[in-house]
Amino acid sequence: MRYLLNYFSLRLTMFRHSLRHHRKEFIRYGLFLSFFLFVSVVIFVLLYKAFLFFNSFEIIGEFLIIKLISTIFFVFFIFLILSNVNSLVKWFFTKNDLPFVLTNPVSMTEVFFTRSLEALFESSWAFLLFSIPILLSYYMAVSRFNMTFFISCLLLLPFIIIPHGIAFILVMLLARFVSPKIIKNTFSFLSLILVALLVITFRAIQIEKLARPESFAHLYEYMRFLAIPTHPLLPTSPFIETIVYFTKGFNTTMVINIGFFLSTALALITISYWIHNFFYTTCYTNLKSSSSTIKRDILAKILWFLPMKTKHLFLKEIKNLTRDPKEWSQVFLILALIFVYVYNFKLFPRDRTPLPTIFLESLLSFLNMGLLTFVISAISVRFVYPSFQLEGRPIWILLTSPVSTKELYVKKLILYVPPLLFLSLVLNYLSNKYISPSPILYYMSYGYVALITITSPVISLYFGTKDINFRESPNPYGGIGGVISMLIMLIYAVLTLSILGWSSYWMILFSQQGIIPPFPVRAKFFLTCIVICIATLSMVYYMVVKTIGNLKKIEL
Amino acid sequence: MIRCVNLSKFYGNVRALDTMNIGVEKGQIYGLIGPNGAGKTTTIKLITGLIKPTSGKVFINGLDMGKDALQAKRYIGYIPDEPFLYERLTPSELMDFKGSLYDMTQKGIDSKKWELLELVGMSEYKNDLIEGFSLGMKQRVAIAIALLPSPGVIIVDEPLVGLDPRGMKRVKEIFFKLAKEGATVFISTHMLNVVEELADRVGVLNRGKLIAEGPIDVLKNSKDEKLETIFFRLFS
Ligand SMILES: Nc1ncnc2c1ncn2[C@@H]1O[C@H](COP(=O)(O)OP(=O)(O)O)[C@@H](O)[C@H]1O
Ligand SMILES: [Mg+2]
Repeated sequence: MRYLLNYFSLRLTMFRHSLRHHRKEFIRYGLFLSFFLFVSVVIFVLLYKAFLFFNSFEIIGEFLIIKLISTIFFVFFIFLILSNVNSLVKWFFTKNDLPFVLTNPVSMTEVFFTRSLEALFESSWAFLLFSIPILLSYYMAVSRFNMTFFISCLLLLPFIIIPHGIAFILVMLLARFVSPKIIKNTFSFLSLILVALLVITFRAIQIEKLARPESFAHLYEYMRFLAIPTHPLLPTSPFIETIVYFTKGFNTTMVINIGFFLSTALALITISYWIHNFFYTTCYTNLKSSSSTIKRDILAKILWFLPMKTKHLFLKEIKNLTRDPKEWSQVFLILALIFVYVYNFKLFPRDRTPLPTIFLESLLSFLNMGLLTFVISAISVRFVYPSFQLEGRPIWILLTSPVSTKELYVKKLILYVPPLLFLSLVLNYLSNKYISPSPILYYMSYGYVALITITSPVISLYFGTKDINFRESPNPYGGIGGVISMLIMLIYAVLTLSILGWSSYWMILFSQQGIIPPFPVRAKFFLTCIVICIATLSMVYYMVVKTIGNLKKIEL
Repeated sequence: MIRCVNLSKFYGNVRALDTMNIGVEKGQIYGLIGPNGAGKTTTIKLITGLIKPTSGKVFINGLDMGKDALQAKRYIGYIPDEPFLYERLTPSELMDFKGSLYDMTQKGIDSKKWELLELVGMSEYKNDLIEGFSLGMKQRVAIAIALLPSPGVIIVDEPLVGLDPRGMKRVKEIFFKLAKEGATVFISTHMLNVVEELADRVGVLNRGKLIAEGPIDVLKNSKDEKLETIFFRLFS
């Protein structure tokens, strides 16, 4: 017990130090917190409305509410198991302080409790944060808000322990046969498939329509046919039942339910503890580091046409990404993003809006350009922004070689810009197919997209190399610099698109009538286009020079 | 050939290296010795151009590291104290990568890389991902890639950490052979026996200051004074 207290006070000290020494951390936690608050509020409002709507139906309404809330918690439950597997592998097998901890006179019990708590917290805090607004919306909509709400919040604690225990048993048993890395990769892949499934399901039920109450009927239909597992032995069932009973007053089944629920949690803790004592040391010492042999190198053959140096720089960069299973998950997410993107334009109810088509098409075309800026800058922040940081500590190989950092920078741009350009042109082509704007806007959108695919990676690389520290592992979400790069791109989009909108307005109107626009109109349009190009390119040039400056300052 | 002229490096107020002057000739093995935190790694990073000096200059084969860094780096083979390598490449791919940075042709790389991997005893693992390697195995790969472009100046930081006895012997032999073939070898270490066995000249570094320098014999008070005794005499 003393050890536990010591351990967690040490962790607190570490956290305080990191806050004191990195001012940026403050901003990061602040941004994080506001983001979560925002999402919580959105969840609350949406669910509250949905519950109220369902509640207006007799009998079936309540049934549907229970179904919806069980589905949500069931999905949470599955995700909790998956994320617990990840954290457990990390805290019990791959964390680099393990040799230090295990060679010190620390009892296995202490290792079990500290590590389990770390893994539990790491994998479940987001769930706890989001469950509270869900429960609250349920209580507010279905019954009056009362004290039992707080009790049900407390019940969330055993709720997170159960998937943790299941994951623990899974990991310890599997670790006897396969390397923890394989376990981790397999389960990450599973969660990814689940995310993809959820995204597609969300699109199918068009959840955003919940914002408009009249389309709740749609959800209603959907929920009626939705079959979810509600077997009484599933750990989610007693939880949901208890919550439902809470809103209706006291009941004896409730006591049985709570008892069953709590004892499951306790039993899982005991079993985990027991398994840990039996298996953990053997598993840890038998750790097989999986070494994989690479037999063929198809990539090198594909890139045969490139000069030697460029080819191998590219190969290193590409292999670094493709041989990391974490990065593959990102590719899937991007594919999902693209799917949603194009799908949205396809679904747009153009015939139901009262606006004249010309306005609608132009509006949609500009909206498309704005959204494309968002997509492209998000992808650059994810892949281009950390590309120098990702070099990590092996950067000494490059820095001691006769290659200038400027050359490295240019090669990185050459590597990343073409695929981005390809992606954005394809997206623009697809969305334009559904929008069918006037020719002027059509060609303008291609020009604009080309500009942002150059600007966006340049800005990302500038912020990605500012005060770069190769001892830190990169933040996969880009951190503060990534957020700033995206903000700058969005400001750029708003500025250029408003200027373009202003200068193309008469052009579009004239061409709509089939008249060639008078010279001043044409001159104004072309001049603004040229000015925007020059301004953008000078900004790009300035950023390039600044980035090379950042790179010159690197010391290892 | 390596020459450091009034070389200093400050980290804020910490004086990591203070006006160091040394010269190492072709064919020589120079041993820089000192306790932990003496400034050995700092010296080596300054020589390889990984960090920039607060004042002073480094010359590699007569080329100023401050002005002609890219040219000077062509001559250097650097083996760091911690062998961080691209974990998701294989030794063979890493060799190709390194060679391409020095404008070698694929033919030129292929003619040397197998031989080098054999030399450090890693040819068996040439197509395995580096992420599965132990510290000593990575160290061996780091040595192999450093030697690939046939550098005339070899700079090694704590060369034998993490190697098994067979590996140590093999690495020592490599350094001897390179020096005999005319390379300049610069080794930093906190291990006395390494310097005693390998080095022609020794520099003793303490708290960023070079407190003694010369051929091993010059440092000795009597003919058979052990280096260990010299060491403790200098630091007391
Ligand atoms: N990046 C750095 N920032 C601040 N101080 C440093 C840095 N690198 C080294 N030092 C300091 O410089 C001194 C010499 O370090 P180093 O050259 O690594 O010693 P060693 O002889 O053990 O290789 C030490 O006091 C160390 O704390
Ligand atoms: Mg050192």
